Amino acid sequence: MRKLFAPLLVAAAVIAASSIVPVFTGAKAADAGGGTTMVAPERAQQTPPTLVNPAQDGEEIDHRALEIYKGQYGPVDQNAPLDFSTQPKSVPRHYLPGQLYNVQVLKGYNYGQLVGQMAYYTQSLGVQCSYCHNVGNFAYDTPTKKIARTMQIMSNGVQAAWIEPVKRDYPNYAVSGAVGCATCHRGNPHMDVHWNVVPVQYLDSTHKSTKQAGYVVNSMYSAARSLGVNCLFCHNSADFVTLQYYPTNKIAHRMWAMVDDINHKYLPANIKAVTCYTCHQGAKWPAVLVKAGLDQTPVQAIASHPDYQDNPGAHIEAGAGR
Amino acid sequence: MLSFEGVYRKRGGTFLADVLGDDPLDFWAGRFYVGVFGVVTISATILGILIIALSIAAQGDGDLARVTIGAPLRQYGLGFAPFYQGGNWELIILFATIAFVSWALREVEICRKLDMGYHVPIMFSFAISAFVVLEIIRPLLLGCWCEGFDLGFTGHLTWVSNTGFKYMNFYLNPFHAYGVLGFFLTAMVLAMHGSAILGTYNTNADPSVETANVDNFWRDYIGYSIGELGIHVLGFWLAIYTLIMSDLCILTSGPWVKDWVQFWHFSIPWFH
Amino acid sequence: MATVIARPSIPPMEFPAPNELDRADLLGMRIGVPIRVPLLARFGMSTQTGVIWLGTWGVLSTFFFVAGLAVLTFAGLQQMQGNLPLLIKYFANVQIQPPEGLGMAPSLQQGGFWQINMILWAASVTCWAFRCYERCVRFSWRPYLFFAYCAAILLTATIWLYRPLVMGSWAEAPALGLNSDLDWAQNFSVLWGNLYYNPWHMLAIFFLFGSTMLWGMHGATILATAAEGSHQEVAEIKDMHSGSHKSMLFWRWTMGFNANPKTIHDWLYWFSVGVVLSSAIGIIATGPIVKDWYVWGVDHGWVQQYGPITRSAINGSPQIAPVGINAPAQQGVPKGQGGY
Repeated sequence: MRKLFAPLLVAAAVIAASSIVPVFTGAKAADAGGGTTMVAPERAQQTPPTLVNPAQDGEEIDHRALEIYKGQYGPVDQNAPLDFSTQPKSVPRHYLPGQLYNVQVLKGYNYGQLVGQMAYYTQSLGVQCSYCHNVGNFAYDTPTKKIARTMQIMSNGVQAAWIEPVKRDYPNYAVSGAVGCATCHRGNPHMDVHWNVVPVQYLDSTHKSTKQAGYVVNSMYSAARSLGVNCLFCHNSADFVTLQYYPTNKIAHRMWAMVDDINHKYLPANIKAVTCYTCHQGAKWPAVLVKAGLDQTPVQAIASHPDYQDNPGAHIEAGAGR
Repeated sequence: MLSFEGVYRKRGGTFLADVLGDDPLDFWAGRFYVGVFGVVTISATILGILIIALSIAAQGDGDLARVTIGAPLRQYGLGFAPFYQGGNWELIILFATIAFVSWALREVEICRKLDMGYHVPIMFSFAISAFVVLEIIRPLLLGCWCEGFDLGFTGHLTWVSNTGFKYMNFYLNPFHAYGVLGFFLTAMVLAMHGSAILGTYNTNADPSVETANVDNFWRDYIGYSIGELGIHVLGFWLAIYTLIMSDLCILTSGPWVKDWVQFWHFSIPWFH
Repeated sequence: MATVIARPSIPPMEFPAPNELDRADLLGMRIGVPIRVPLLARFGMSTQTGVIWLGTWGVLSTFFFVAGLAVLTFAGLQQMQGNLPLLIKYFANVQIQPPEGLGMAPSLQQGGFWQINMILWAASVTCWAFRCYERCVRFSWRPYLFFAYCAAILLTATIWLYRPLVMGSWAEAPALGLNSDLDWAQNFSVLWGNLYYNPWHMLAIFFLFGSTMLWGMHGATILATAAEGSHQEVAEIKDMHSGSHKSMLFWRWTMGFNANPKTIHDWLYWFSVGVVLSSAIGIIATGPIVKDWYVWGVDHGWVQQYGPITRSAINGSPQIAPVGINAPAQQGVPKGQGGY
């Protein structure tokens, strides 16, 4: 016993010293700043770079902020007095039905087509006209109307910038159809948020600690569940890191960048609400898509709207396939 | 032969002797006992090795670590695949199973000759069950031979990895967890038993003092000494427990559960 | 034909009288009342439970262990907002994460609890090792058990201490918690190119499955011949009787090779120690030496190449200048075209 005591004590002292030394050299745990970056000891003094949304990137969805955001936007208060000093010049003080005023995004639509589009909005979001409009003056701008414009731009933009290139580059994985309001909203003005996914920069697996790899793996699981597939749909598990040759893997990279882009461009800074599930909702291809390239109306809404005479074209294809 | 062996080498008590009256295969080849099951084992093994050799030659890649004899594709279902596209795999599995079962039966014959308990062949049967469950029973349940593992040194590791990730997170399979617990407990108890004997043999002229030292050490150290018979009972049943859990863990993956993360859905906490 | 396990007659309760080594310890006493459990005799096991040796090292070890448990429970309660039934319900999901980088954690919940618990449990495990050695000496054992225990400590220290030190971050070590430990195993393997292709991982599995196989073989052999006394192994090593003869002959006739009552325990011991030693080597090689085991396997000819390999994606050492998540993000991205 005595013979071993000294060497064991020395070993214990060395171990203890090696864990205390970093304190005295001033190395700081790198996430003291609130982010989740990993910094090696010799770079401990470097300030972490500024990210676009520094408080929230890579962190969990802020459900409270999401609830507050949702609470701010709802049906328009029809009894509120109209204040034309805050409105664009094109909004008339006396609204005449059958005329188009204050059209900022859906330019080039005639009255019938525009109303058809409105019918599509109401059916996709499961709301009435009064949700976005003051029904006494449909041209009057409201906060929900402004969001609707952003959403329309987003819908067109996402399709053109992200979906069409995937269809072009991977024709075997393409389906006919385009994303529309109903793809995400599915009859609900406010969507539930399911599962967080890390920002696309996290997909770079270099210079990660095992703990950070865990965030990525959790995201991967979220993505897999969102599409209703298992890991082998995109990966050869012999090596997740370097075997990225499956077309599904490459498509997923693009989709991931798209999700990031949508969250950055179209949503407020602290709401990372859009994830794979938002569109896919458990299917490899979203079950609700619009005929490609056009904002079309469902047949039922066209038929039921009293002001609408023409049918400009097609209707939602539910369950778009190949 | 070992110095005491002659007394124990007796003819009789074998399977063929029961069936035919006299067993022409009841002899020893050197130190090995032959018997009818020895012949069956050797034959099945040689046939299996022949198929392996043909398959390796056909693949043109002589590296034994890398070469893999893959299971047939899904399109062949439970039928016969062409020889070089999975038929070789099917035949190897068949011959391997025959060889393993025959080996176990040969052990039974040897137990009968030596007038000892059948514990060893029973234990070996559990080990065979792991192979049979993986390569025969689970593919039968899932409807195609493609579900069995590929035969290859690194090839079968890729299968294990892919099968695990097919069910998302195999660590969350409770039977897998019980099995892993069994394996680690077995390793720990093995170290304890091995070191107990190696630590005390020939330290004293009186074996009962050595045994008392073992008992007293364990009572002091952990409060219980299981005894020289009891430790072997524990080891035997730990090994069986581990094998049963392993069988269950792979049987439940596929036929019952498709996603082990979702399996635990009822227990996932939602923080607000 | 004998298939009956010899059932030992129930001996009187035993514990040794204190000798001078026992008395040298300040807390050297045997505590508790020996309790007889007759049920155990049905399984061939000894029926005496207790007494247990206290000892200074045992007391210290237990104290540190319980202190660590208290810290973990407190940390878990904080995560569950003080709700104890919730903690019990979601016990497996509690995770106490390590901090990033080396050095002290910025706060208790961001790695402080993990570090405190590590220190306490490292002390506990070390004290237990002292206890093990001390009891070995007291009963004139060769210190095989002590070395096996040190090998296990080596593996644990490699995972929780040495490798994080070498890699430059405590976040390389597992978090504390049931599911988070399992997640660590999966994340570790995913990040470093699939540990199945790590040769020391292969060796460790070989020893692990081999240990179970050997236990099956040895346990079954002894039970099959126990009626003839083969279970009294230290006695059989000095002088073999028919039980040991039959055990050896069974294996000689079956597979052409046999151990003897002493050497079988060499096999058992070195297989079980081999598990932890191979694992330790395999862990420390992952990251500092090999960055991606699959690519390493392909490069060394072990593994088939299943498709094009994107080598630029391999995880580098954290000491290399970080890019990716630490790289400056896109500047000037407008927050929303509707002004939100």
